[in-house]
Amino acid sequence: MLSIAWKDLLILFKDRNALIGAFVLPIVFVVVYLGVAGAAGGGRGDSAGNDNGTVQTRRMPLVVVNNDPTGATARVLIDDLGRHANIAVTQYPEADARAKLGAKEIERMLVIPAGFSDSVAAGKPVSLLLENNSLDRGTNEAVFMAVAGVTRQMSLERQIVASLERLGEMQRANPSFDPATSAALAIPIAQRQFEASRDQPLVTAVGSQPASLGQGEQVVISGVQIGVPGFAVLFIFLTAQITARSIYDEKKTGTFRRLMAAPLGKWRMLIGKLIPNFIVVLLQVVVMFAAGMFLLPLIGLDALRLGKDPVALVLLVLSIALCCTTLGILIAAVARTEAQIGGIAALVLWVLAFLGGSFIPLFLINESMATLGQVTPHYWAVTGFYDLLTRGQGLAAILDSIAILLGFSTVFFVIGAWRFEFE
Amino acid sequence: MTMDALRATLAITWKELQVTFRDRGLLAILFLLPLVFSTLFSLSQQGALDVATGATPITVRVFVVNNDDGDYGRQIVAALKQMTTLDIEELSSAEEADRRVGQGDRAAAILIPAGFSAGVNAYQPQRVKVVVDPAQGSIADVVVGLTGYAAAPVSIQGELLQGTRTFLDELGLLDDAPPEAIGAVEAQTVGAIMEQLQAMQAEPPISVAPAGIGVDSEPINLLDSFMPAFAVMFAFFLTGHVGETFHRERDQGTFRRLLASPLRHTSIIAGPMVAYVIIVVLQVVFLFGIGAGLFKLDIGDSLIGLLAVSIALGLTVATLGLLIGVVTRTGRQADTLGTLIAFVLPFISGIFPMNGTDPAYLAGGPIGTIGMFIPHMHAAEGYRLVMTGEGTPETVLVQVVVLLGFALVFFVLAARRLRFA
Repeated sequence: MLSIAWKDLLILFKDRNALIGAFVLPIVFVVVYLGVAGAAGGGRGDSAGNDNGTVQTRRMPLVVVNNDPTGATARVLIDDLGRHANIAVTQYPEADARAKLGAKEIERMLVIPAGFSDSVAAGKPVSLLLENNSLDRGTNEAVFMAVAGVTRQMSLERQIVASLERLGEMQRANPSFDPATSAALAIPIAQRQFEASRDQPLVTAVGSQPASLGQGEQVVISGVQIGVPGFAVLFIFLTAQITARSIYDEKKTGTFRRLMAAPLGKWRMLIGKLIPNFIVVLLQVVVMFAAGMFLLPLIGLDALRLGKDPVALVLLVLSIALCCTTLGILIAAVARTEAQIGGIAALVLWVLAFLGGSFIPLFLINESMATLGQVTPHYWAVTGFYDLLTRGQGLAAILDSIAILLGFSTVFFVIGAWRFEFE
Repeated sequence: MTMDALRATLAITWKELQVTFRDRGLLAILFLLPLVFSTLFSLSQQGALDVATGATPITVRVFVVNNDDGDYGRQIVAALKQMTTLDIEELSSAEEADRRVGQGDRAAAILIPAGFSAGVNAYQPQRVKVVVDPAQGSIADVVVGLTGYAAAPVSIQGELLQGTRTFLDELGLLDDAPPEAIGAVEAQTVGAIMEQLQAMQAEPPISVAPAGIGVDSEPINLLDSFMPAFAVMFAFFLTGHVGETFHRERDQGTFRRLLASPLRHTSIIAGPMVAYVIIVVLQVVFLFGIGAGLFKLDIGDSLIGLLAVSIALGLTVATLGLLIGVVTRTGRQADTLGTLIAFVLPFISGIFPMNGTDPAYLAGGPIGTIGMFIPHMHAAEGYRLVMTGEGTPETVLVQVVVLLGFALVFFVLAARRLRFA
C-alpha cells in the first residue's frame, strides 16, 4: 500500500506540470487576484481592532466638491464629515471630480452648492448632491446616511433657535415672560449647544469586536483573511482530479490489472492510490498559507494570520484533505472518459467552489444562492477556516465543519467504492 | 493552384474542428464554464442593484438588543426596522447576541444599553455598540453608519431638550413656579420640540439628494459586464489545447506525413489556425447568443463589430497557442503554460469589473497601464465599445488592429522557432 503511494508520489513530484498546477498556479492566482483587488481598492484589510477591542471601521472615501469655498458652514460640514461620520474627505474642483467619477477613478462625490452657507444662515432649504457610480449598495447607503446624519446635526443650531422661538410663543401668556430677554438668549444658547454637540455628540454608534472572541488578541479584519482561505479551498478540491486522473491512467495503461494479479487486496491498492492526494493537499495548504503569510506582505497586502488554535487548524486541514481525496475516488468511479475527468469534473468543481463561497464570501451574495452553497463541502471548509483564522475561535467552533466534512468523505467514499471498477 | 491550396487548408481546418469537437472535456471548459460563471457571478450580485433591477436585495442580517426601557431605545429600533438594507432579529440578551455574532450567525449586533433614554434625557453622552463579526468585517462601516443614522433623531431630540432646559433656566421662568406650572411648561417644551422635529422631517433645512447607480440610472444587467470578460478569459483557455495539439501532431508524425504530401507549409499551418479562429467565434456566438436570448444581454447594434473583434481575438488566441506550442518541450508543458496564461492575464489586464459595472482597466492606474500591453484588455474593450454603443467604427477598429498586431507578433515569434519534425 505504501509502495503504491510512494510510487505515485515519485511520479507526481517528477511531473513539473502537475507541480505547477498543484502549487504554483494557486499561489500565482492568489497573489494576482488579491493584488489586483488591492490595486483596485478592495484587497487590503477593511478594518482593524485596537487595544480596547473597539473596531476602527474603514474610513469611507468621499470626494467633496466645495462650490462655497468662503462659506463657514461649508467648512464646518467638510470638517464634520471627517470628524463624526467616519469619512475620508478629498476635495477636488467640480470639473476634475466629474471627470474622475466618469473615469471610475472615484466612486462617490458630494457637491456643496454655491451660496450654501448663506442659504443655511438665512434658513432657506438647501440641497447637497451625492452622486455615486458604485455597485456597492451597502456603502452607498452608509455614505448617504453618514452625510445625512452630519447635515441633520448641522441644522441643530437652527432647530434649537426654532424650538426656543416656538416655546417663547407658547409662554407669551405667562406674566413673568419677557420676549426681549427670550430673543436675546435663544441664539447664544443654540450656538453654545451646537458647538458642544460637535465636540461630543450626545449619541454615537461605535463598532466593536465580539467580546466572546476574547480581547487578548486583536482580530484583524482583512481581505487577505477571506481571500486566501477561500482560494485555498478552491485549489485543494481541484486536486481531486489528480487522484481521478491517476486512477484513470492506471486503468488505461493496464497497471491496475497487473497489480490485481499481485498478492495485494483491492482496497489496499485503492487506499495506496489515495495517500498521495492526501499528502499533496497537506503540502498545498502549507504552501498557500506560507504565501499568504510571507509573500502577500511583499506586495503591500496584510499578512495572513493563522488564528489561535493550531491543533484545530491541523484537524480541519486533515478533514478537508480526506474529503477532497474521497471526492477523487468518486470522480474516478463515475467518470468514464478522460474528458469527463478533465473538463466536466473541472466544471463541477469550479461551480461547487463558487457556490461554497470560495470566490465571493456568501454573506456578500444573495440569500437563495448562499443557502444553496451550504450543501457543498467547500462551504464547510471555508467556514471552518473563517472560524479559526478570522474569528480567532478554537476547536469547539469548528466541530460542526469537521463533522460535516467527514460526513461528506464517508458519502463520497461509500458511493465511490460501490461504483468503482478495478478492471 | 490557389483553389487547391484553399481546399487543402479547409480540409485540415475541418479535420481540426472534428478533433476538437470530439473532446467533450475541452468543450465543457470552452463553452459551458464561461456561461455558468457569467450567470452565477451576475445572479449572485444582482441583489446589489435591487433598486434598478427589482431583484431580491442583499440584506445585512443583524441582531438588535434593546435593554433600554425608555422611548428612545424603541425609537431607534423602529428606525432600524424601516431600513431595507437590514434584516433584523431582536434578542433579549446582549451576551447571546455577542456570542452568536462571534460564531458568524449574524453580521452584527446592535446593542442599546440599559438606561439609554434616561441618559439622553439627562444629557449624558450615550454609546450604541455595534458588535461586528470579524469574518464579515467589510460591512462593519455600513452597519455602524446605519445605526448612527437611526440614532441621529434621538440625539437631536436630546440636544433640543437640553437647549430648552438651559433656555428656561437662564430665563428664570420656573424659579418660583409651583409644581403644576413646571409640569405645564415641561409639556409645552416637549410639544415645541416634537413640532420642530416634525417640521424638520417634512422639510429638512439641509437635504442630501442621492444620484447615480441604483438611484437614477437605467436598470443594469450585470451580465453585460461579466459575459464579455468571461468570454475573453475562456477563449484563451484554447491556447493550451493549441500548443498541446501542436506537440501531439509532431510527436505522432502527422506533420512529417503532411510534409511528404503535396501540401504547402502555409496550408499545414493555416488549416488549424482557421479552425481555432472558428472555435473562438463559435464560443462567442454561443455565449452572447444564450446571454441575449435568455438573460437579456445587450449585444449592441453592430454584429459586424462583434464579428470583427471575435475574429481578431480568435487569431490572437490561435497564434499565441502556436507560440506556446513551439516554446515548450512537451504537450503537458504547453497545456500547463496555456492554463497559467488563461488564469493570470485576465486579472492583471483588469477585464473584470471591480465593485462597479465597468472593467477595472477603465479606472486607469497600474491595472489600466498593464492592460494596454495585454490582448485580453483590447478584446474586452472592443466588445465593450460595440455592446454599449459607446464605440465608433474607428475606435472599435483600433482595438481590432491592436489584436491583429498581437497576433502578428505571436506568429512571427512562433515562425522563427517552428520545427515540424
